[in-house]
Amino acid sequence: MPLTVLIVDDHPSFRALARTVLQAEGFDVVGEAVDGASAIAEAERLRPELVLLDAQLPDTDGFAVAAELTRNGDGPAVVLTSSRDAADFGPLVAESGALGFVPKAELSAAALAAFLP
Amino acid sequence: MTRWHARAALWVVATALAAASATAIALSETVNHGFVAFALIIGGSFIATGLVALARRPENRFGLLLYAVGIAWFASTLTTSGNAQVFSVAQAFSTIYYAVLVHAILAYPRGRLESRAAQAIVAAAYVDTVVPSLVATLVGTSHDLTDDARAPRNVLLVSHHPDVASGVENASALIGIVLLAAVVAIVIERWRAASQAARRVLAPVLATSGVALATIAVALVIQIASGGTAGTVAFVVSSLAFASVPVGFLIGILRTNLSRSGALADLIEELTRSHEPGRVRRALRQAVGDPSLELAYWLGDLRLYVDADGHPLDPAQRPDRGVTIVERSGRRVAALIHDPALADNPELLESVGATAGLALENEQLQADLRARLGALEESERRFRELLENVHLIAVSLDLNGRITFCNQYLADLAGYTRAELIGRSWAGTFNPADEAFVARVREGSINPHEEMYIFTRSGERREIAWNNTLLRDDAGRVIGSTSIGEDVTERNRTARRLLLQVQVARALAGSPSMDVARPLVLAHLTAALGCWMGIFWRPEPDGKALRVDGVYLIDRDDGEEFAAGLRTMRLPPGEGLAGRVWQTGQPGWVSDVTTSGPFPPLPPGQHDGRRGTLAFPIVSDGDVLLILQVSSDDPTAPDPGTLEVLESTFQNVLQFAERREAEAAERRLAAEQAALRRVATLIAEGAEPEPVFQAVTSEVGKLFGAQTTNMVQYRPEGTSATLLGGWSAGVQSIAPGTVLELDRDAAISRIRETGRPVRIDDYTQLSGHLAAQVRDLGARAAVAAPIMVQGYLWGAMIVISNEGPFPRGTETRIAEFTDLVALALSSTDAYAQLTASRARIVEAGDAERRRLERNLHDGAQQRLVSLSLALRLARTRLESDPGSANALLEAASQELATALEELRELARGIHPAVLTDRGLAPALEALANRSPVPVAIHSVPEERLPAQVEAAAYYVVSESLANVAKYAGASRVDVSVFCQNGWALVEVADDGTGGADPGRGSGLLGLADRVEALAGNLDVESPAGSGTRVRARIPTG
Repeated sequence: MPLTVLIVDDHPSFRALARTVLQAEGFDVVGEAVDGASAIAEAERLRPELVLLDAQLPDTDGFAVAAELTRNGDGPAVVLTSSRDAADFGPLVAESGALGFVPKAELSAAALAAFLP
Repeated sequence: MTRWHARAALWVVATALAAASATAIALSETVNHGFVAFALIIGGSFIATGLVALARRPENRFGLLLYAVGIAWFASTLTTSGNAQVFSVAQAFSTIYYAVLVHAILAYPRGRLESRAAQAIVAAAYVDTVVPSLVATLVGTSHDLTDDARAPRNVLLVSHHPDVASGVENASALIGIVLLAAVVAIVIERWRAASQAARRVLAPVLATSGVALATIAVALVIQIASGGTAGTVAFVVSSLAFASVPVGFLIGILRTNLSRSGALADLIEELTRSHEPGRVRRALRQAVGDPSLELAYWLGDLRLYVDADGHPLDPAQRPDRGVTIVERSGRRVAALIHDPALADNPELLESVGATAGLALENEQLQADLRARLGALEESERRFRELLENVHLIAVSLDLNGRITFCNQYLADLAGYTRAELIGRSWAGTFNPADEAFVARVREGSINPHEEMYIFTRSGERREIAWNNTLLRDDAGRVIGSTSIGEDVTERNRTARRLLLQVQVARALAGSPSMDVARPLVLAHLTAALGCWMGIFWRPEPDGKALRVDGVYLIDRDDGEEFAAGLRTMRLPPGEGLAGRVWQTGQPGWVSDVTTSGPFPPLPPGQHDGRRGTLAFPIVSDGDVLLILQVSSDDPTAPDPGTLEVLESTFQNVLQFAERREAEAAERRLAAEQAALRRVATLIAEGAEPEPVFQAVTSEVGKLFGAQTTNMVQYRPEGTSATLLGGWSAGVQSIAPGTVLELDRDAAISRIRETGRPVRIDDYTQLSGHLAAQVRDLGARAAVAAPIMVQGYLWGAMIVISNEGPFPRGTETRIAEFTDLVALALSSTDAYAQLTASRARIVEAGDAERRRLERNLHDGAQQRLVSLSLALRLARTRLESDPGSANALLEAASQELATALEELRELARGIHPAVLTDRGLAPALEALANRSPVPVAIHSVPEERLPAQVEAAAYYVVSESLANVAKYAGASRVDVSVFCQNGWALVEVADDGTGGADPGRGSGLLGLADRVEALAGNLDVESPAGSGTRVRARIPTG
């Protein structure tokens, strides 16, 4: 059974490329969201096992969305991504409840799978 | 030895010597016996004459000298002696009688040698007659060579050298000639110098002596010339001449005795014959033969001598004259002042004086009378002169008041001649008021001392202090008056002036200000001028009328109503006496002030004749400051002296006023400077406007003695102002924060209209709600000054008085404070603007960086991330799905091109590289090429400008073009950049819709900040519908 993934990013070209890359490597991309609010709604509705979440969103930032998604302990696994480097965000990634951070340029199914238990 | 014994001795010696001489000659065998008589006559006559003279004048040695000549003569005849010893001694002194004769002649008539020349000659004569004879006797003469046995032998012969003796005798004779010539010269000189009286005595003596001496001299010449052979003849001739000398003396003596008796006879006849004045003197002159004789009569009780006319004459003052006192019965009668030569003949003078004694006594009494008469006349003359010359009037009037006598002084003083005045009516001529005096004379009761005026012919008034006495006839009836008067006009004037000046000076010195001094000065002036009323008129500030400044009445009791009436008066220029004086600037006088213009009714008791009024202007720098008006009972116009007194008094007053004013101005200035300094210090410390307003209003209010000072700020709509606050001296004022409507006449309304300081001297004259509101709060006057901040009217300060108008110039001085307020405000404003500008610049920088980061993140970064993923995907499919990989690479290539373009655009936004590398012209060209609206570039400087100037110019154009593209709806844009006088001028103009607001869009504000940061300025002109024109001026230096 392939791992179900929700992609959250406001740039359509990145969503398209990410879907192509992850599906090519065996993940099942179940949905996409363009901002924080729709990300939470789609996660509720689609119940994906993993959420690939952009750190910078038009309405809020990825850290707040990650905290919301992981608040109850039974939510999806969250991996943050950005075209910036993890070091640019300091302690924010660790405090957000996300499992980890993958730079956009290094995105692959293996890089995501490495954070899963 | 008594005088008698002495004379007897002289007679005995002479007789003995004469006898010896006669005996020697008679016994001589070599000499003719006839020589006895010759020798005796010559010797005897000298001895006799000498003894007669000695008898007459025993104290005079002249007689003795004549006697000595005779003795020496007899001695010389002893050379005829046959006795060798007698012969020898006589031979040695045989010629000495010549020297004694010379001595006697030169000592005549006093018996003394009176000159050094005479003494020298006499001494030389003695030497010349003794020494050569002695020498000749010692060495032997020709006589000693004779072989005549009868000749006596020379017992004194030492050795025989007859040639030596002859030489010595010749030399002696030569010296003798010289000495005789000198004696003759002295005799002639003495004759020449002798007075007439002296010549009478000298004549026979000098004549015979002169002849004798001349003859002797001739004899000596002959003796030298003949070598001694003609000696005997010469000796006989000279001896004859010698023998004549005593005859001369005898004649002289006889002459004096003869003249004495003759003169006395003549004198007696003359004195009895005539009684005319001066006859005694004339007779005495004849009697003593001295035409220069003067008589001085002794006035015993006055202890002085006078002449015949009674004039004092002091004989002691005539040392060159002889004086003989004439006494009668032991009482001094007169003194004869005569030729001193007459002193040799005192018997004559005494007998003449005694003879004339009675006549002299008579004349003495007459001289006494004349002297006393002269003194009386002199005293009278002096008294007359005193009356004429003292500066006193002397005048006598009869009972009708007509002038019966007056002195020249009165005539001169009054401008008449004495002849004109005699017989005229005094009162009619000099002062009608003096009729009262004439009436009092008739009543016999006059004031002995009084001061009255007289009026001179030219109308001048003189003040005279009179001493009056009544004239009475023998029966004691009053027949008139006599008065002595002193013209005290000048003295009184000087005294009044001094008193007035002292009083005025004292009043001024004791007064802190002119306002305090003025009433005192008025009182002193009124009193000093002898007036019953004094007024000071003062021009109103607007110069339209005079008002009473002060009134002084000597009698205050009934003057209150009158003074109150005066205080309500206003005199326009030219009206009334004071108004006319104000207009002309010259003093004026009227005989009746009540008919000369408007004047309130005089107080009761001020009847006719007390209305003569003088008005005098007090002028400084051509302005009439004050007019003094005084009224007196004097019916005549004031004299020039009074006007002079006023003039000099007012000079003092004006000087005082100026000094006090200068002091006050100095104090005011110092206070003002201190206040300005305090405010300026506050501003310099960076105080907020609010405390500055409070400080300024309080300082100004106190400084100018105001009741309220307010600060207002004009509101933008231009019809109202907000009262920001102020200061008040405890009076009611409008509350801070009140919005004041700018209506009609209010001070701040006028400033809003004119932008200039405003003065309000009378609030009652103003209309409008605001003015009424201020008036209702008690305001009477105000001054206000605008507060201009950076060229626009920000507000105003208004200073209000509830008492009266502010002094001239207050508005100008207040303006200095409002200037300080403006400075404070513009400093605060400029500081705020600067701070805001800095914040905007920082904010603009931050925003720019945020924009850049966002653009990089959203643009190039995203594209590169996608590119990276795409490339990785393509590689995985390169073998499995080459077609798909190819498509992915194609898409990646396009993505890369887009990313590059985005990066270029971004870099241009950060700083245009072409501007840095190639300058403004290509950079603006590039901007123009990229602009969607067509751009025409008209002018761009070829030369490079400072980088920050080029950048600023570039962004002005780039931002303006961006705005044009976004908002203007324009069809074209014109761009130009000029360099001029150190400024770069950038202009961007479009033909769009206009209406751009510099404050709204951040673009223009950012531009303005950028330009102002370079000390330039940005001006946007964008009227709606007429396009937008952006101009920037940037300094290039």
